[in-house]
Amino acid sequence: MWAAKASGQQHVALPAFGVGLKVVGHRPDKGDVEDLTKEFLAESQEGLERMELCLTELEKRPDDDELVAEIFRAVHTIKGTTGFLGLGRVERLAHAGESLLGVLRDHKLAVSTELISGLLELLDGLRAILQTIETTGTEGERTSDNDSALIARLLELRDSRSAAKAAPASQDRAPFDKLRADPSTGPGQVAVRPPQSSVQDAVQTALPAVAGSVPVAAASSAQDKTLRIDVDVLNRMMNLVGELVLTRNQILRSTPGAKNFPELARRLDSVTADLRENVMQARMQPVGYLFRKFPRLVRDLAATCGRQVRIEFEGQETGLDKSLLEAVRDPLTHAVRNAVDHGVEPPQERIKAGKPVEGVVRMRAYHQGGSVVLEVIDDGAGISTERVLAKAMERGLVTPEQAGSMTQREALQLIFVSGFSTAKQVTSVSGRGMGMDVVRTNVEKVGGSVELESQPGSGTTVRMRVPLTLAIIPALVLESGGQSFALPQNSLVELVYVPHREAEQSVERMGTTDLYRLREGLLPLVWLDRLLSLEQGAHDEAHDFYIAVVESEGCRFGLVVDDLKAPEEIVVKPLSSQLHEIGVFSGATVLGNGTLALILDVAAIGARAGVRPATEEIHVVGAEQAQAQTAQRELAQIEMQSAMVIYETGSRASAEDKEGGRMAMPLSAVERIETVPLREIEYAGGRAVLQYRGELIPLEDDGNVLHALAEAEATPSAADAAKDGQTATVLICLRPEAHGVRRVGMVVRRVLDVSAGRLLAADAAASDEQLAMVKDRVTMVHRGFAQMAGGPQTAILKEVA
Amino acid sequence: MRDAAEPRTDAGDTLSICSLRVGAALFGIDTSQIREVLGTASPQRVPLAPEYIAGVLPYRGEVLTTVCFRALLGLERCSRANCVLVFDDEENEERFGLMVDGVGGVIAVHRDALEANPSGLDARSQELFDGAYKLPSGLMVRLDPQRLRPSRLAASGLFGNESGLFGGVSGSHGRVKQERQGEQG
Repeated sequence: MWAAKASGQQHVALPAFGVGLKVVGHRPDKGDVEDLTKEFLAESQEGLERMELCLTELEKRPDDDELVAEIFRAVHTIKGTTGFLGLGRVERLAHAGESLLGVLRDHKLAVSTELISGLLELLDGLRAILQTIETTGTEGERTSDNDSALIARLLELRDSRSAAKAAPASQDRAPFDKLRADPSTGPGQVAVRPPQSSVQDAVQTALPAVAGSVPVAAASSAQDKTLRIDVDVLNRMMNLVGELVLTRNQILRSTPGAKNFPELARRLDSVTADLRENVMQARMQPVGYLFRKFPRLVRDLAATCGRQVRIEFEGQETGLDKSLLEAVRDPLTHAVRNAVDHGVEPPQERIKAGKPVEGVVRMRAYHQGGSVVLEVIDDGAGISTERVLAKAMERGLVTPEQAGSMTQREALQLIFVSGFSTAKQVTSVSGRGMGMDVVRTNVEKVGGSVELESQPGSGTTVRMRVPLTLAIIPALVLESGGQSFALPQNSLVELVYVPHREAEQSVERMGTTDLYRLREGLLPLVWLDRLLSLEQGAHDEAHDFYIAVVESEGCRFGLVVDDLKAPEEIVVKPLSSQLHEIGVFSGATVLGNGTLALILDVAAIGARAGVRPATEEIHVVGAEQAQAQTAQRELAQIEMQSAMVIYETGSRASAEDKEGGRMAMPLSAVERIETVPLREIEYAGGRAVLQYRGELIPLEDDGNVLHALAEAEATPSAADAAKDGQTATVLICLRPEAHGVRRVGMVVRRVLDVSAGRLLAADAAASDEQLAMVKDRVTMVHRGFAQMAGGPQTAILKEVA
Repeated sequence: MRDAAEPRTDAGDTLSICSLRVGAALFGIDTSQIREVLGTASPQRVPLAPEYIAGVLPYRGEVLTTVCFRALLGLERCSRANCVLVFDDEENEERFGLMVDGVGGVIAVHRDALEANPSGLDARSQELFDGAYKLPSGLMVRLDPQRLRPSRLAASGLFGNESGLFGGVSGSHGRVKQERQGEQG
């Protein structure tokens, strides 16, 4: 079995779904050489990537033999394969590198900045040639001058060993001049340029194509089309496919009326579910793959900008869907560039501010809910709100009055507006005013979001939140004009049913817009059948309908549909470009009954119907409307309203309390509401516990509901009434605690409603009791949960802290 | 059904042509260009799509865009389920289906029997047709699937790209019909 191999090596390179396979499949005639070249390219890119990582690491830990060995292996492998494939240019370059690395490996040469730079040049050189091979199929012109210049430099480095060995270990970036001045300078040496400029010069003169194209090219090279998959995962997949084939065979032989048919259908269901999970798992890639290229990027950027920056990683093992990984690559690069160029201050300023000379850029990744959070944190100067506002006013993005009334959070959101940049001067690295809005657009394209946090003087955090996967999304299937459509749940806010008798009166018109009075506000309506020119059927007269209240890009409107069907987890399939251009559909999916349904693009529908963000809420002009509104709404949620679950605990706080303990709990704290048979509740050490999804969670029963239920069950008459015995309603909650959150179950008598509520200022006298105004009544918030009322954000902060 | 999709190397000068029926006319497509012939299928209509798009079909885990040949000819769209031929386009990676009234047998024809489009043909027919074979029973119009690709149809601008929203389709649709009738008469 393959699985018997060493665990660290249990990977096979496999073309990513679609792209790679097709390319191979389409050109079978060109033979094995092409396949080999392709394999060589993917392998070499990976090797070079590892080498890059090791090189930057080596600079920090110059005595690590393992790193040197790894780099040597990478170059050696490339050299070996090129000889076989007859790629002379690569071979010569790799050979020069190998001989230098050989000397290094034998400890005849000490690691210096100069050496690292030289090796990075080699890396760039190799990468450039590989690029040429990938695009043109040949090694490109024998621009032997460039190559030989590089080779000469590598040889020169190799021969400088006596000097380098004698020089002090250059962990810090010791100026190379000192090294030159060393009396023990060996023979055969040529004058060498100072280290920093040499990197730049060499990269820019000898290899102009590389310098400019590295970040761009990285997004499209061969390695992105291949995926490393654990052999175990692949084996499991193969097993499942085998199982699937067997089940199919049995189904083909069976008839729908046969006795074993339901069982076969069930097996098919479970095999499919397992297979799906497996494939998803295979597509999950550790974020670390993405982080790999950043040490080099930061090193070069820091050198260009004259900063001293260290990069740190956290949560590299966090898994993210391959396609999403590609999607966040550019936004992350932007964010890191910004952190180095705008965030971290120049050394003198840092010393003045009492900070360590070396700035730190930290990249962290972690799972949270159904999404992955990627953060780029720097410990730089932070963003000055005054400067942001001043700039925004200068650019005419906000008026002075608006600026005056903005909170810090709102002001920071302005950075995401197109054409905004606070860099004092435009540098080659960043500051062209197209950084953060690109970040935002790209992340939102894949259904994610970006936030910015900044403390003047102590740093900035860019936080990107992306969904785990794009392929399968929860959606609501609805019907309009006799056709089914799927509406993604993430844009759905609520559903309103308008019965037949109210249909006529409830829709009001203002100009050409239909409006519906939803609670205190007016909701613009969009009739899906009219918008899509579907046949509206014979019903000209009023009929009942549903309003799906949707929200996207700051627009909230009601989508009128004829009927609602089941919520379904749908598999998103792309539409042909032709149909995509219509703009209203983001894809299609096959429903449970085998028919296709088009997936509605809420933002596009809103734009098509001419729905704009509600005007009364906007204090800013132009393109930032949407963000300002989002920010405001978030703010409003935090300060004012949050959804509350209202329930009865069963206990009576006082004699006047007729309802049996009406309590509220922030909805964000409630994970699920479960109905649990009483006999499934167990007791351990006098405390009620519940086995819930393989986890043991403690139950809290303030109102002694369990006791009451147990008594009821003991009474014969009641037990007869309920055949399965009594059931208890349990709210599965996440309680914030000092170390993260903890799952607890709240036993309640019954759940009354979910409604928007407002926390009242805490009463000093009754500090452990938090009150909220829910449905115009003062209601007690379950203790320990009031802080969750600030929306999920508060909980997140806790968890992070 | 699938045997029609097998590419066939032309032995000498004969080609095997799959005959199709649309309305009263007979059409033919080289079998080597057909990926698969699906039995009857009823595509899901796509609102706001051009009139000649019959809709989308689930096909091998993909969503297949289907062209309604009747609509292209300016005939009344067929509402019931019909035969769908699936074509592949290797270079552009554009796979699409073509909806026709019926698929007939495979006919072997001589390469030289192909006559080029007559010069008097209107622009739309000129765009769609790829000459005709003179069969004893009558003419069989040859079709080139590459010309029927949805993207190409859209690019040609001849087949009413206006979306249904502006009500432009019915107008152009009628116009096509008239011209066709005029040409035949």
